[in-house]
Amino acid sequence: MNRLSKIIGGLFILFGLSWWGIAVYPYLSFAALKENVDPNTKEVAPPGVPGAAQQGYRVYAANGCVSCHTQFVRDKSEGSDIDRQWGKRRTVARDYIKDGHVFLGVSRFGPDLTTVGARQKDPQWFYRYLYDPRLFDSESTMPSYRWLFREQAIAGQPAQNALKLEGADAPRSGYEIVPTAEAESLVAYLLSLKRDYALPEAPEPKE
Amino acid sequence: MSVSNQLADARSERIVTGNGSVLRAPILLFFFSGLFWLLVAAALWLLSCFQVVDPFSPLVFPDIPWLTYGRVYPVAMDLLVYGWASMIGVGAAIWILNSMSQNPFAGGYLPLLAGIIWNLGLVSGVWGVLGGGSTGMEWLEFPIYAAFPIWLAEIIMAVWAIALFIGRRKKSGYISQAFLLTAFVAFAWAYGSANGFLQIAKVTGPAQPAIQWWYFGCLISLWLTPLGIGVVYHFVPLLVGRPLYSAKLASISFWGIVAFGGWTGITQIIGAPVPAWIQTASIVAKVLLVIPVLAFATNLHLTMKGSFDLIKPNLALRFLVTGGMVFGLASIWDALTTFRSVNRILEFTWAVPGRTYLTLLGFVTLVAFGAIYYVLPRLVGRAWKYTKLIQLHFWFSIVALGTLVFNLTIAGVLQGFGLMDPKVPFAAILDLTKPFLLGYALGGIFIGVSVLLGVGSFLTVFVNPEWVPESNEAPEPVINEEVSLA
Repeated sequence: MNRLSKIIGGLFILFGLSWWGIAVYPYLSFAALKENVDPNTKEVAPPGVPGAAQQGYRVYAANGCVSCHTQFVRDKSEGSDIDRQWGKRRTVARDYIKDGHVFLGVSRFGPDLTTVGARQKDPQWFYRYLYDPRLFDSESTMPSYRWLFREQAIAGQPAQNALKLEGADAPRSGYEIVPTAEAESLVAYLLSLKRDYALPEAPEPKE
Repeated sequence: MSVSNQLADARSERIVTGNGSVLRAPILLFFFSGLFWLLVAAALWLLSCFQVVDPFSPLVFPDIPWLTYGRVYPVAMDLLVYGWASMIGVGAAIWILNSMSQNPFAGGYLPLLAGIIWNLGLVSGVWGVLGGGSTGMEWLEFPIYAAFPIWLAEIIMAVWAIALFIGRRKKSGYISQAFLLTAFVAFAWAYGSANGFLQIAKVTGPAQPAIQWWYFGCLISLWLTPLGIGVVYHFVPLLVGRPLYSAKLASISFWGIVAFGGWTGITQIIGAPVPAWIQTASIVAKVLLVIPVLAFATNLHLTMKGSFDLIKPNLALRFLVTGGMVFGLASIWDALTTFRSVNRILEFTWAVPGRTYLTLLGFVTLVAFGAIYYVLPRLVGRAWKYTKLIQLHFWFSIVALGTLVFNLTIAGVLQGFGLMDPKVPFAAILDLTKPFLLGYALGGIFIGVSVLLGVGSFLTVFVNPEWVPESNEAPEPVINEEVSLA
């Protein structure tokens, strides 16, 4: 046995084990996960991503939202996620089977977004938050995403989704700030983050 | 893997890799590219520091999409890894593998080609992520049109390295060769399969985080780590003029890293919807990884024993040994913060990037500069002159690293305890961490200065006096004791 074959052979066996265990095995085993159908209510869980939200994940990915926001709720024994009301139960693998892209994230410089669509249901709230986070929390360090919006002249009636802004943020008179298509799909995506269904493997913890 | 023959083998490196060799161009290309990307990375990273510390800063651009934090910060991190650390590592690896194999086949065009393709990949990656094409997966943000060229360039390097090793004149191998070959093969494997699974095959949702963070473990433990250790194991014995202390310890460090390295990445997402046994295995692996790393650090220490005086005058040695020692500390810190009891506090906080910087800006960056200071003068045939500048660079690097990691860790602990208590609102957590985030920005400025000093001293070598190999005087930066004591 020459030494190169020892190095490469050892690498294939030892390192290959981690490849098999962490990369290939989850790939094979999770592919078999099926949605849960409640025997009584016939409710399907998870329900899947609504059409309007399906493009929004791209905007979420492109702008690095994952740099500051996570999308998973840990068990009560692992942290205060549930007590912070970021979710009623921990998230499990089956929660993500219908998500094309999963953004777990590793930093919580901002709050977790697993159930943000259940906490806030008004698109206007999201638009204003994205436009200027300081409207809600004067010290927030979240960047303002003004470029996801455009200013347009009001033609007749104000647009339905025009932002309700006051003071320094208010647009020139006769003009209004409306979300771009990108902002609309991002907010549709955020609104779709609910996880408000039950899964037998993750019961809600008792108080 | 014999230890003693390395010194004799390496003595011929001047002839093989000296002036006029076909490998001079590719090594210089990799060094210049690496330093260029370090400058870009530092600038973008500093920008992201200011943006996150002060949302009212004039450096926040709410109307310019490609200058927002969520795009700038990932690009800075990717460039630090794939631009700076990787390219300098490959440059140093070309030098080491060539001088150790003494193979008449140098195939200089292959590394040159790889260097060009690698840069094309990085340019596309920066363009892609800043332009809004990020995949949104940490450390794998580059879209496929940028990841593929980088992967291809790496494959070319792996083929070149193996061809060189197979055709080597000396039939024995040395430990640094084993580390470098491993790095090349493992990275091609990890980067290829991570991008293949996540971008091309687009695997089912719940499998994505496991693959993504498996890759992160490989990136640190089986790419940057073996590159760094390979460099230290090669140059330190040469600089102290004595073989590596123990072949057995070297072997332990090698096989330990190969066995445990790939398992370590999942420690980043403990509590995530990933099978519990994988999380436990990952924690165990991260703790066990301390064994090979300490075997390496002990070996380094015992090789240096009696020669520690040399660290003072010889600056290339100083960078390499300090980098190696920081690596020992970083891996102990990594292992300690992995235990569930500690991790539940520090997870998701500023302490996590702090931990990563300790490896990236401590171990990897110090070793990379050590390699540059050793190789560059021999490559261009010029002795080092402005040693004060390098001394300044060294101290600035240490102070910057300390400021950065200290502030991020304290901020992380405070943030962690804040997050643990559901009654503490987010705004209050921010208030707690604010002073330390200012310290983070200060650390960022120091890092920026040390980068400028490093790049500056790199450039001075081209105007330095010529080096005559026969004079036997070391061309790397050595402080003239009489002058420095005066």
